[in-house]
Amino acid sequence: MNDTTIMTSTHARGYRLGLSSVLSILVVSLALGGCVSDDGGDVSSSVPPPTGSPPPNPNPPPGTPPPGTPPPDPGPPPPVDPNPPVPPPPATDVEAFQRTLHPLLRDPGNFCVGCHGATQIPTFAVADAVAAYNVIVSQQKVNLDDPDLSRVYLRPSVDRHNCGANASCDEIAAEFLAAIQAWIQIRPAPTPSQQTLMSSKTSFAAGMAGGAGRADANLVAKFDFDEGQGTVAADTSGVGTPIMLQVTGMEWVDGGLRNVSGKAQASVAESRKLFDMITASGQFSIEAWLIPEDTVQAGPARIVTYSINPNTRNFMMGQQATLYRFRNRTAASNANGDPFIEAATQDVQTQLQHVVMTFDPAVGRKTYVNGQVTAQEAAQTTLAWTNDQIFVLGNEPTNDRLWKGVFEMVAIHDAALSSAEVQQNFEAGAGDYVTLSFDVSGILGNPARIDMLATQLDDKGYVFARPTFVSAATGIRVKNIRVAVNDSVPVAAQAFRRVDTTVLQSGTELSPLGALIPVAQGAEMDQFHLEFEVLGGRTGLAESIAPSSPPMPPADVTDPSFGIRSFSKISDTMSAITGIAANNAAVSALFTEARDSLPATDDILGFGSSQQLAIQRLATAYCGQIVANATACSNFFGACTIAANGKTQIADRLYDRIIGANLANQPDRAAVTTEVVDAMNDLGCTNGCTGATATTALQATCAGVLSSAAVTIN
Amino acid sequence: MYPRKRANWGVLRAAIALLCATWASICQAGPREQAHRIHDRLVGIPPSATVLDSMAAKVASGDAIGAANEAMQNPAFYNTTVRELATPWTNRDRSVYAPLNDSTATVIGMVRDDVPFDEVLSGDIIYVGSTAATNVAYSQANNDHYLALQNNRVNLASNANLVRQTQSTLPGTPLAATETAGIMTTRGFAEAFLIDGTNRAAVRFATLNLMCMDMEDFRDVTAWPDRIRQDVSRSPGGDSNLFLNDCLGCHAGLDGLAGAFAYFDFDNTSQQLVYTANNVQAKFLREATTFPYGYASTGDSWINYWRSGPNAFVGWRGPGSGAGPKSLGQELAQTRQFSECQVRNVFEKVCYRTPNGAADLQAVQTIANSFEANNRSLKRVFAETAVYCMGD
Repeated sequence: MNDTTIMTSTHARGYRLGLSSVLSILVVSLALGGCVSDDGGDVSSSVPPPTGSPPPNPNPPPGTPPPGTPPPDPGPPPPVDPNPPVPPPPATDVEAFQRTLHPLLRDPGNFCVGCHGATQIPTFAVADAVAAYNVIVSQQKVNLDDPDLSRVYLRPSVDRHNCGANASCDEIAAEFLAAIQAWIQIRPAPTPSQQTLMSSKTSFAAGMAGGAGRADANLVAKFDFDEGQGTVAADTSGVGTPIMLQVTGMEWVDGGLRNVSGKAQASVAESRKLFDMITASGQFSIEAWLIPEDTVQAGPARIVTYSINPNTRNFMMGQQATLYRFRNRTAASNANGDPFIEAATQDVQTQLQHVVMTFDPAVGRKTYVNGQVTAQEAAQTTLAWTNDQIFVLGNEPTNDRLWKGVFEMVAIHDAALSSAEVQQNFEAGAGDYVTLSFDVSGILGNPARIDMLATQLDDKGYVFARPTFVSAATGIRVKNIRVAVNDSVPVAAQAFRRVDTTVLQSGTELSPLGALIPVAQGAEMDQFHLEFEVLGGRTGLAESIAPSSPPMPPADVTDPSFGIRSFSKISDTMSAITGIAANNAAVSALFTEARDSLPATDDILGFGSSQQLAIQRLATAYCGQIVANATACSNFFGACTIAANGKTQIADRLYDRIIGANLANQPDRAAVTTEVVDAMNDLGCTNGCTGATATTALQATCAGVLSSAAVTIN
Repeated sequence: MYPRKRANWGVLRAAIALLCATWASICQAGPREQAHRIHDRLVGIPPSATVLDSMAAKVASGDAIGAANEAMQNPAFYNTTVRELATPWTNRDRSVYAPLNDSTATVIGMVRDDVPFDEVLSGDIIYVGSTAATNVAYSQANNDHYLALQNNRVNLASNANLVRQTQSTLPGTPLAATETAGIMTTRGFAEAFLIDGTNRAAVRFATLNLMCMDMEDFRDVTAWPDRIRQDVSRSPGGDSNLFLNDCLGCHAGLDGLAGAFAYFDFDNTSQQLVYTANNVQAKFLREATTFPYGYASTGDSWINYWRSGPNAFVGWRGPGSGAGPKSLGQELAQTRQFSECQVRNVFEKVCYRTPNGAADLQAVQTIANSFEANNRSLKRVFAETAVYCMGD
């Protein structure tokens, strides 16, 4: 990094600097200023001061050498080592991490340590370098094969995750990326010998194209929608003249083509392939992986059609709201392919579905959704197609039967797929699976391999599925399979770790599951191998277990040692103090109305003024029930009138009954008495009172004390 | 260990400090004040003069636990304090206002009768009102029975009113004794957490409420992924990195545990818990095409992939794997984390704050040790915690 870069960098990140950083810069600036001043005599003598600069001080402080005086001899310079010591290379990967990325993660200016250096998972910025390394590596926060794909780099560079403004994020990302690259440069070489049971390596280039999973022997046309851009979706079947669909009103999405308002349409000439091959066989299948946008579109909305308008066709796969509809023009149908068939109950879901419609002249039509038959007929008949129809996806050629949704794959077969073949294609999935073979002959001493279906799921991950053992050897134990990419075993999503079986015959599927393996350098570059804990009679290593990572203790922040009574407790307390039952009709009605306005919990830090109003209302209700009953009133206050000289006595009773006698941690009795007497005076009882005036004053003073902090806070 | 997030209440703290300074007596406590606070905190209401005198004498003689036990004889301890503790465990909003139901009543009864509290997630146990307490009979199809108990303010401290029974013998229950799992197989729990969805909520809320750990706290992307079901996209939004870095961290462990509820559902029409022995509920196999190579449930087995690795600190001591929610409940409730969580839950109810600082954290450990050494008595936890926070 050159000086210019440093200056730009400092400027860009200036706002991120904390006080200590600002002070540090100030100190450095002053020091630098001093240096310029100290050895700048010659400079100032030859370079005029810039315009606006203050003139040289004509009265320098005592001791300052006069201008032109050479600086004092600093003595001989220290010897310069022409070969400064180079630190030895790190002995461990942890040490390499500690020298490169870890300091940046710990730097408060990079914003990681504030959260991930303490309690927030993942705790990759903790002070303990080994602990941080374990998190960084075990949770795949860096990609040492392709640093650009490292999570710690992508978070600031792409996600802009807690890194300030864009410029700041870019700078942090660049520093992290450089540190990861430096880490790669200095880290000790990997030691693959640690995993002794390794299969041979393979790659997608060596995979069996088309995969072993699909039944494609009778393909006529197939569209995978992998183009990703452009206005043409190409027929990838490799059969006959390819059908090139012209795409309009559609948008490319990851692994598919979304129809928004248009269609993908072939020419009449290219569509003719369907007519020629299918009328020759007399049977066909329409197969699609698709995601309907909703379950209300109708018409039916055309998903796949071979037609010239809404009323004339050879076949149609359509959607009528919640049902898939199948039309086929036969000797028994009209020109539109009716009567159609469709399921009795909903078979359309707004998620990826595998839909297959088959026609066999001996048995009629069937519709399969996700491998299951949802509609079928028993009707022997023959095709009655015409050769002037147009193959279209997502609409009619006349643009008046729009289907909205995503196509991930469409295939046309000139045979009626059997139930087993439909199931096979469903299980093969929407992607372009290939079969990768991992040779394990070297481990077993006999010809043997493990086959896996594999595909690239998206630009970040591969799927490896259904490992199958192929060998004449039997009685072979297979335990704990991991998929490695470029000599590295990703820790996450290794779905075959729990495999532990003894193979008794060739072709045994070891697991029905699929593992998601992150892309390292791309499908064209990545090399894969398998590792095992046990294979045959040999034992390798199991993966290491990540260390336990209990959360950090909470900060030692002193909370109040007291709280506020919650809603139920306030009512219970007022009931206990006043002797009025909590299910008293008037009290209960008010409590029901005000309950949610009372404190929900005892946490006083959540207490608000509106809650105090609710408490006041409830206290007024309880005290109102006391004064409403003459006996209760007399029992509680001593009398239901207020004598001019009896107010202190009433205040004492309120104190004893509501606040509690002989409790040192309650408010001072005299102070409370003063307040209560003042309240009665303010309410017109200075000279004593009776009747409504007295009961109002008694109710008010009662409610005032009952709703006070002396009662509600404890 | 997991403080709740709070806004910065510095101003209020300062005001409270000022209150302490000007009303100094609130921050001082002798035996009488300590007894008063123990009662206030445990019961929610002030003690009568007689009870206060008695409790103060016990505190003065060094028997503060005895004073706490005396306070807990007040019915309000069960009707209010314990109910407020358990009510948020019965609903997804964790509302304290939810009505009394069979789950809450069972917790209240277990505390009252000192039933080992780890059975709260595994026992064949339920508490119902007696005929003397209400004439509304218990029903598998509604909560009317418990609403009647609540509305009539029935004294739940009385074992003549709230009676211990077994879930497996209640009229109309679909569950055998081996299929019960404490509050996790009550109607109230099912209505809240087994309704619709995928039943993952049952595990999430059980750990959240009774282990004080949400899924984010368990997050571990190194856990084995082979029980993650087919309905979890491996490429959410077309980005498998999201799955590897986020989804996987919770689903690897969560889906392994949630398998225990594969036979459970809650019927919205009949309003009853549904149990289909040996038949996996359709909700477990829904959206299978999202990732066909994911796990397809075939039974109610479960496995705990969080026992080793980053979550080893939880202190797992249960079976590790099994079938159905009873053994799962044992797996969760026999952890050290469960014990500490009960102390934390009680601490927040009784001390009015989240334990923090060295002294509080040590107290949590000490009281959790006592909980485990004393037949997992939650009542004792209440008493010891109230004494710890009685002031000095």
